[in-house]
Amino acid sequence: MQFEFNGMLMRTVGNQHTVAVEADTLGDALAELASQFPHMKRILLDNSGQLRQAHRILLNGEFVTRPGNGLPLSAQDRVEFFTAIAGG
Amino acid sequence: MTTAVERQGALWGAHATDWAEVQQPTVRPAFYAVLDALGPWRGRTLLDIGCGAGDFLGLAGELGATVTGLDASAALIDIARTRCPAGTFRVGDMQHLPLRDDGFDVVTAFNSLHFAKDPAPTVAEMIRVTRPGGTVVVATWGPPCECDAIVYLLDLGSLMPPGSQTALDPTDLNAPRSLLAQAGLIPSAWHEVHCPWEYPDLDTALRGLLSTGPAAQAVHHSGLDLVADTVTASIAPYRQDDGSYLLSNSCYYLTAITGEKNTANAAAPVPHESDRPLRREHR
Repeated sequence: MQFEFNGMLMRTVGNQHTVAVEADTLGDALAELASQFPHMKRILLDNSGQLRQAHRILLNGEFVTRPGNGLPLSAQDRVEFFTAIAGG
Repeated sequence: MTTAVERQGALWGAHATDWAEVQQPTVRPAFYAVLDALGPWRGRTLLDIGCGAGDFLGLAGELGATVTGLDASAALIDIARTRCPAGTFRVGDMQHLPLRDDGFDVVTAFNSLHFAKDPAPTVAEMIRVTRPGGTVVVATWGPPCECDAIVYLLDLGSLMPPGSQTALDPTDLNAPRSLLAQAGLIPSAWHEVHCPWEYPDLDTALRGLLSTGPAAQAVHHSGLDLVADTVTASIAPYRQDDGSYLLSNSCYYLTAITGEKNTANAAAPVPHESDRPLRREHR
C-alpha cells in the first residue's frame, strides 16, 4: 500500500510525499515505517504501540474512526495522514 | 465581541503564574545565547513580541537594555511589569504593533511567531519597528527528531478543537526562515541551543505543560482530567529514576539585519530544506 504524508511527517521521511509499505495490517505497516524511518516511531506510536490520536487517517479517501493496529490493509490501499499538533 | 487575540490572551493567561515560574524559564538557554550573541546591550532598545512574563526582557534589562514587551495576555503582562518595572509593556496583537517605526535596535520573537494569526504581516511589523541596520531575531523549536517535547505537542494537538492549529507549522524550521526572506531580509544560519525541559516531579511538570495557551484550549475542549492524564502518559518515557522528568529539546534562532535587502530572493520562494538546518551551532 501507499502511505501519503504532508508537513511534519513528510519531512520526517526525507520529504517524500508517498512511501510504499508491504504489510497486512495497519500495525505491521506502522512498525515497518518506524523501522525504515526511526525518527517516526515516537511520532507515530504512543507508549502502548498504538497510533497516536493526533493522527487522522483516510483509507482510500474514507475517514477511519480510531484505527487500531488490526485494521486490515491490502496492496492496493492508499493511506493518507493528517496530523494535529499544538504550538509550544 | 471578543477578538481572536483577546481569546489567545485569555488562554495564555489562564495559568500565568505557572507559565512564569515553570515553563517560560525552559527557554532561558536560548535567551542567554541571544544575549551573548548580540551584546553589548547597555543603551540599546529591545522589543520582544510574545514576551510572556518578561523573562527575556528582565535578563536584557539587567544588562542595560531599554526593554519593551508585547503579549496578548494581560495576566502575563502584569507579571512582566512586576518583574521588570523599568520596562514598557503593552497588551496587544503582534500583527498590529502599537509602536512607532524604526524605534528599536533589536526585535525578538521567541517561539511566538507561529502563534500569529497571519505570520507574514507580523514579520513586516517586526521589520517596521526595527531601525535600519537593527536586528530581527526569530527563535523556534527544533525538528521532532531533536525534541522530546514532540510527543507532548502531538498528544495535546489531539485534544484541541479541530482547526486550532497554528498558522505556521511549529516543527518546520524552513517556515520562519522563508518568511524573513520573503520580507526581503537575509536570514543568518540557524543557531542551535539545547533547551531541556526539566521538572523535579510530576506535579511541577503538569504545572508547566498545562500552562500554555494550547493546553488551556485543550482543557476547555476535552476536560482537565483527560488532558492531565494524556500529558502524564506523553512524558512517561522521560521520567527519571528519582521521579523527575527530563525532556531533551533543541531551540533554534536566526537573525537578520534590517536594511540588508534580499532583492534576489524577495519575490521567490525559498528552496525546500530537509528537517535539519544547513548549519548547526552547538553551544
